Amino acid sequence: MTEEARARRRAEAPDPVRGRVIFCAFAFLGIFGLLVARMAQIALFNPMSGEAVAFTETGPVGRPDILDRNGVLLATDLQVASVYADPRDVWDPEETARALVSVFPELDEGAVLAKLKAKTGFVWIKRDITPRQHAAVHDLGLPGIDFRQELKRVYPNGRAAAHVVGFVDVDNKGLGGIERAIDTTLAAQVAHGEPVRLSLDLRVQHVVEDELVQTIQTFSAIGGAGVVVDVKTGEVIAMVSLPDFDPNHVNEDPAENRFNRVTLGVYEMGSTFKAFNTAMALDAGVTSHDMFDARAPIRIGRFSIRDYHPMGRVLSVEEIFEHSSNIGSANMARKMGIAKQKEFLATMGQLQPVIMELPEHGAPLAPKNWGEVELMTIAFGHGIAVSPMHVVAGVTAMANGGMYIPPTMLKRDTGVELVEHRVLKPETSKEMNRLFRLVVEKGTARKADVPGYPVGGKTGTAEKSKGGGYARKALLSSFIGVFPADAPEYAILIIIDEPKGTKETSGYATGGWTAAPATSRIVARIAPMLGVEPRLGPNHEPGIADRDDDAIQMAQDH
Amino acid sequence: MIRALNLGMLALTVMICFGLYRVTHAAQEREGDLKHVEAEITEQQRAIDVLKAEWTHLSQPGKVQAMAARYLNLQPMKATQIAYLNDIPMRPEGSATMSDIAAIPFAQAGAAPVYDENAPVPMAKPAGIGR
Repeated sequence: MTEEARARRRAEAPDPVRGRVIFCAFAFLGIFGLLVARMAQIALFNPMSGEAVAFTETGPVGRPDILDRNGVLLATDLQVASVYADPRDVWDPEETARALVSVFPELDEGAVLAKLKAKTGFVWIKRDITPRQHAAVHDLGLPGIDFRQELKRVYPNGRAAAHVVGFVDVDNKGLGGIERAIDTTLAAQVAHGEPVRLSLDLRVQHVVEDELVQTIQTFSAIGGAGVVVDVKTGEVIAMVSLPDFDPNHVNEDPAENRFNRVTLGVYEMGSTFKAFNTAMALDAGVTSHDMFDARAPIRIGRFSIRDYHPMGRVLSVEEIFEHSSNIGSANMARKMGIAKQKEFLATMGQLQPVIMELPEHGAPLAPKNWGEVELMTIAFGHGIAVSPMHVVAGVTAMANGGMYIPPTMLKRDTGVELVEHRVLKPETSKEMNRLFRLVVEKGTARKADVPGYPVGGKTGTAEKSKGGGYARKALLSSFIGVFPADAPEYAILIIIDEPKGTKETSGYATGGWTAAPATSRIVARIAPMLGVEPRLGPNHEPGIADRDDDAIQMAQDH
Repeated sequence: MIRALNLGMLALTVMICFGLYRVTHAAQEREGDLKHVEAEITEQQRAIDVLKAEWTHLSQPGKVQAMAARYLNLQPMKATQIAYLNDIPMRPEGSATMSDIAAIPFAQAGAAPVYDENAPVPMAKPAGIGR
């Protein structure tokens, strides 16, 4: 058929058909044109948009790493293999069981056989196996046996900071400490994949723990607690509660070891609490040289308040603090009154729980009927029980110029404004620091001092209340300190639970003999780590004279 | 003429088909490589995680302290051992000068190094740890 003939036939065709053909042709042309245009557009201008290649998640979703303030790992996820079996695919259960037990000698062959004969599609043979075992089982080539990758929470530093870091259960759910907070209160803050950076310094944490362990051993104590806080930021640099536990093997230690004495335990702090009484009086306008009667024990109802080493005279506020006079403290509180005391303690955060990132926080035990007796006993730290964290938070405000900073377990970013509020006049803070130093220079805490790093503070020795009364021999000995004393940068609280006196201490187990020397050793080790500038005299001697401890008669304690 | 055009078009179609096949094949190959590399990265990342955990476990302050007590003759630093730059006295008159030091053979420029190149080098710690 020639071209002319075709053209002729087309020309001869009736118009409607011709029109339809042309319509169809243009329609197809249009559609193909569109396709070509779109393809060109995709090929030329749209090279693999981000959404098209979504990142495929490999393996199970993990928990964030937990780091200390210097980036040292405290908790991390490691991928481990676990062996499981699908009994329906197992050819020879007896043979398979024997082969498996050859790789895992700790498994019972009978038990494995029972599992392999079970009428299910899935049984765990062994979870968390080593890479070597993985290879060995793989090489056996057993049908019906396979592996599953699982994430296992690992705490490479073991017991260090266990109470802060917390632990998880087999399903990787946080059950304590920061681990629990990550699943609850911190969940919104923890961006996926970002590590949680704690305020702790692992080195300082270790030193506090090391010295506490030794002190507990020396004095056959049942436990102890230690906490170091940066008074300018409220960051907790170390938090130790003993006895502790290994978060890698939680069930191998008694459950009560998980109790965090620093945040959850509440204690009648004894004389350490006199810092609050003194700060209250000073802030209300009393001066350090105002005199209060401490001549004779106070009798009120069936109670009597006495001093351990009665001075038998009128004492100034300074002397009351230095010699830790109960009678003087009670009389100071009396002058202030119940309402003032309540209000002051509330301002200092001593009547509400200290809410930190840790889920474990103890509520203070304040008297229901706050009367004249309570007014006086609270003055020297009895009749009110607070957590060690309460005391440190309060003393932080006394040391840093009078600002209450809520303590935190998380590293604060520099430049972020602190949530702080004024609770004391700057002059009160200055005077408190002077009094703290006085107690270490001349008073009950002389063993707390460190050459070159002047320490200030207050000792405390409380008789633990047991069965309604006070147990004479069960003591809670403590020392709350600040250093360097002339311009405090850190506050430290050391508590020894039920220490027993030794020959070296002539039977004493008070704060001045137990917690104070421990604090001295700790400060000597951590001050250089924390970059505290040593106070040195003009001839390079330590600013504070190196004393011969044995020559000092510990005349006063309590 | 139309026949030539058709033939040309046919040839073009075959060429395009072949070209397309090659491009697709190459892309698939690259995708395979990518997956392989990604898997390797994940694997290495996992290995790094394990090494990090192991390094942290082995360099725990408690362990280091025990080792230091056993093998090193060192003591905790005291405040008195810290001095300020200003406290360092100026060089007294008549003491060694730079030219005296330069006269010592191994201090001269180009002198052979005094250390033994075959001596064992302390192991570097893995990067990114203990920042």
